[in-house]
Amino acid sequence: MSSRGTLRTKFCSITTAPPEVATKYLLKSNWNLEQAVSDYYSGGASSTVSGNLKASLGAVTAIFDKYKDPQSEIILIDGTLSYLEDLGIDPEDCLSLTLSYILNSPQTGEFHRKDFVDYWTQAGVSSLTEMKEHLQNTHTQLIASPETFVKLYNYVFGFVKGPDRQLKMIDAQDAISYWRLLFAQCSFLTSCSERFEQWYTFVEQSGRGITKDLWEMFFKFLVDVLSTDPVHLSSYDEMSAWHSMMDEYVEWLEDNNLLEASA
Amino acid sequence: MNSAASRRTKIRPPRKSIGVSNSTSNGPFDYDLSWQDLAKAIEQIQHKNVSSLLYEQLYRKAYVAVLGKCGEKLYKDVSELVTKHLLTRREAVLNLLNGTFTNTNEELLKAVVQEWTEHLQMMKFISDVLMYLNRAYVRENKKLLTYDLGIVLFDVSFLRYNNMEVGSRLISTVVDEISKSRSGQVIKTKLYLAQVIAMLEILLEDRVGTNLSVPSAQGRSSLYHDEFEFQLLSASESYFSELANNYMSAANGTKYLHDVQLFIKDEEFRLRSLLPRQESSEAITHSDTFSKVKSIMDNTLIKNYIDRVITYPNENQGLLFWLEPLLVASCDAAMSPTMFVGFSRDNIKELQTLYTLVGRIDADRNLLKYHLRETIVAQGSRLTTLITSHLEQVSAANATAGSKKLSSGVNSSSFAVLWVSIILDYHRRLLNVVQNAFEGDPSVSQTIYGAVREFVNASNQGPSKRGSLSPSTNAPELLSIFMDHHIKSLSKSIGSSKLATDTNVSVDELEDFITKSISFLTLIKDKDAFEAHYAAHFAKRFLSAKSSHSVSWGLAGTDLEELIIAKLGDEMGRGGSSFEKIVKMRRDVKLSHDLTSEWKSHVSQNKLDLVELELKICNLSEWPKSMTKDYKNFSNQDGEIGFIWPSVLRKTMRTFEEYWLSEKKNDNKTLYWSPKFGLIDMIITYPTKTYDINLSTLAGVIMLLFAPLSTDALGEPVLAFAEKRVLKYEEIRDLTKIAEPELKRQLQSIAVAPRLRLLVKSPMTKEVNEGDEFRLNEKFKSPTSKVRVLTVSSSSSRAESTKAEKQDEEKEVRGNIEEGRKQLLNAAIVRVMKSRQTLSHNELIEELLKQLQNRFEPLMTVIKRRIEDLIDKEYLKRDDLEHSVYHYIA
Repeated sequence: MSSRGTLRTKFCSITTAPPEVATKYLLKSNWNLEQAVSDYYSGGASSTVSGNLKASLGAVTAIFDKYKDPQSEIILIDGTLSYLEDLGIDPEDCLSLTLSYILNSPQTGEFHRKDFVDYWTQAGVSSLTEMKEHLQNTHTQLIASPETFVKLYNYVFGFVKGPDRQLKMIDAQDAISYWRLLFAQCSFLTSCSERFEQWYTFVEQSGRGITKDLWEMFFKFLVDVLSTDPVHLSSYDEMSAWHSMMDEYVEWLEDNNLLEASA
Repeated sequence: MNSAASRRTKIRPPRKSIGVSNSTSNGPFDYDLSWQDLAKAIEQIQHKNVSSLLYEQLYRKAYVAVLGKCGEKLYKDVSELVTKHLLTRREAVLNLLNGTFTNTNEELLKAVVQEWTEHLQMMKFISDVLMYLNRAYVRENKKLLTYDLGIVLFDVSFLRYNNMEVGSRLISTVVDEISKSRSGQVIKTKLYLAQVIAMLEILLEDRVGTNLSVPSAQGRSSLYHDEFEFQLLSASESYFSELANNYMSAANGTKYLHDVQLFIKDEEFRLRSLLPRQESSEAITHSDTFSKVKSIMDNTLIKNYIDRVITYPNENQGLLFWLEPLLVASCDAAMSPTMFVGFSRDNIKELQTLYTLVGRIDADRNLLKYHLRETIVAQGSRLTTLITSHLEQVSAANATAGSKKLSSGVNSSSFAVLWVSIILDYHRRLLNVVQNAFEGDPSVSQTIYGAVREFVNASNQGPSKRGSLSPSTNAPELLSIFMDHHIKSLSKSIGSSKLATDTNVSVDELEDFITKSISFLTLIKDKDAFEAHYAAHFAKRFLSAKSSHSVSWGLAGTDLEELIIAKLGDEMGRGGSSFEKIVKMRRDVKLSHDLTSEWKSHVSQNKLDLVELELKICNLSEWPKSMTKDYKNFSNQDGEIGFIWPSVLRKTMRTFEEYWLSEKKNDNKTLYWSPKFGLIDMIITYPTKTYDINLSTLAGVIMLLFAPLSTDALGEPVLAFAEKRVLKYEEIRDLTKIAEPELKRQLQSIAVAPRLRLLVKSPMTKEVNEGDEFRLNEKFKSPTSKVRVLTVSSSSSRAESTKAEKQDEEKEVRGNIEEGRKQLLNAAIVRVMKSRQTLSHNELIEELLKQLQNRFEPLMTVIKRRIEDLIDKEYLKRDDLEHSVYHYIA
């Protein structure tokens, strides 16, 4: 029989509840740890946590532990790759970005315990199969319209750049690969696929890095200008506040005879 | 009619009692009887037999009839009687006209006018007789006064009767006569025409009660508007448009202006004499036929064609043709002042006419202004080519005459001087045109100013003018070159006339030059670029001047450079920009001058045995980087020896350094010596003669290598020529450490350049190569004992390197300008956004352009880049929903 102090510590580590709460439940269960934890989850203090969630918490934690780096509380690149493999997701698929997005991954191949556990338990998911199903559904919703997609899109810039605040831009090549990845499944952009291929060429030629502002503006430009009238880009106005790269892009199109003058 | 009117006042209504007593005493009143008398009297009037009539009696009869409640009957009977008479007269007139053999317009007009006049006369008399009818019956029943009734009846029963038989004939006759007059025929009917038109005008008047009084007048159209005016206008329109076609067929702008102006003048005179109410016509618009014809005329003759005429090419004589003499005169005056005799052609009259005509269709004359701008910009843009080809001609002529070659490039000072002078002269001439031909219209002056400014700054924009063939001009740089040229020549002329016999000429020249420079500066958009170029020129002038004294000269106590800087500073300062950099450079010049004097007195007080020193000390941060960037190359650092100063100079330099550092004010400063600037005066005794030689510092340093070193047995210095020292190229290089291209350039100046060879080189080739040997030239000879050795420049074989040097300099100036602009823009954006917090893109742009307008005109892409830069640096952010709105982040 453990001492009461050890029991309290164990209770806290399982439930993440404060010690007073632990004492309360342990007293109630006559210092039976299993009973106390069960009581804690089935009602009492945290009313939002249902029995179902309780079950998932353990499972999700177990899944996280399976992939996490042995030296830290983080899933790193190796863990990520095997996690993706077990989920049956190709890392070169936009789904992997959606996964990073919902689990709030700060940069490539990095998942933090709290984000991971919180998200999956909130979602009430407790197995890899359920995770995959859930991810697929979320992904379908995200790519359905520009309004939902923009959240994922804007997230990706920070994801690619990483958390270093000194860094202000990402490499043009990286940007292009992620653009490809992101736009591949967006049905609302199929009308202008030729235009963004031209954009990639232009960006490559310019050799300039991509800033956050440019990244975000480009999506707006894509939705407002490129996809509305891919042939003439009639909604483009050089006097408006488009990023100068877009102005240059349109000029470049004109110079290369890729733009028909609108009637 | 006056007599009738005055008579009317004499007729007084009899007192009621009399009338009543009469009617009672005479028993029941008999209307028919009275009417018989009245009708008879009216007929008499109609036959102009008024003298036999007794008005008192007639009046009484009408009065009694009205009192006897027979007013209506009387009114109707009178109306019928008048109508009947008018119909008779109508027949008579028609018969008369048909009866005459000629049946001319004149006869018709004359007959109608006569009928009308008589009719009015007659109605006056009738109206007098029926005065009581007017007073009582007419007023009560709101009918027409008998006189007015007569007017309406004339309209209905004379003119309009039988489907407007007489009226139509009359009106087409009037219009016909006017057309004849327009085509230049002399017409005799003017007086009648005016009367007929006046008649139509009278008939037009709206008379209350017309329909009640003359039932047949109901629904009648307006003879004046619907018939006469309509026909006149449509005839005018077709006449004018035919006329315009006619004028345009000549396809000559000058002739067109002349013809149109003349016709309009005649037509207006004609219309004023014919149409009624012309004096007060401005106020009356509803029936203002004059202004309607005028507007048709303006539209048909001017508005439809003026655009085509203005844009006529030169051979058809349009605006380009009329303005051409100005440009030609400006060019001639500047390029060949001796040949210039004045205008060959002067189109002031045409321009004046043009201004007047255009003013008739648009008081703001926007069309004229638009084309003026276009034409001036087009003319101005031709200047580059004109000047370049002129310079090439001159240079070719000089070459054949064997004199010096003149550079014709757009960066040359000869180009700059012509370009600036011609533009200023052209602008002045254009403004003269405004005074003489455009009524001094300030808005046109503004347009002209804008146009000149446009072409002056045009080629500055670079990429937008990709297709232009002529080499691009850079206004800020050219003005700076222009000024440099003039400052140099002014200093020279003032220097040479030190005796001040003709300082007045210089003062005039100076004033003229400053005025020109300032006026040109106002035309320049990018003042910051001008400042940068001016700084570079200023620095060169100072550093290459013979001494710090010769830059300064006294003119009523002022200094040329100082005076110009002050004036330019004023102009630049107008609107927030400054001339600060140059003012600071100028301070260094002054300090150098003062320091030189102090140093000299220090030397003489302490009886120091030193080489005489003129100082030019420049603060690195204020002077152009292209000149100062290699300042460290000449000092020793990291064990590398940058430059070896001759031993004779070292003592002086060291002593000065000590002196300079001993003053507290220079505590935190470091002094670097830069041998690439400045000059050395040295005395060399050649076998022929002793010469005072002035040469560049580096050349001087080389020459010092040949100074005698040894002494003879008695300890006396050996003459240099006795030593016969020979130095190889490599030796000179090692003894001085002068860098390769510069060393070659200096050696060429003193050993290869044709006239003044201080050294002899062997072999005697043009190029300086390794292994070449140099020795003093024993045969050196010069006509004067003072010799100035110029360093060879870009025109010689070293062109490549100096060209690169020049490009470097230009690049630096441009880079400085750009960097400065970035900073200014960033600062301006932050300043604006900080005070406004949230602004839309366009508002921000507008505000920025306003704030920077006097400094430079930023390109849109440059502004955008700056905004994006600040977004990246998180000074600003875009609005989450509206990407064209910016927020300031504190």
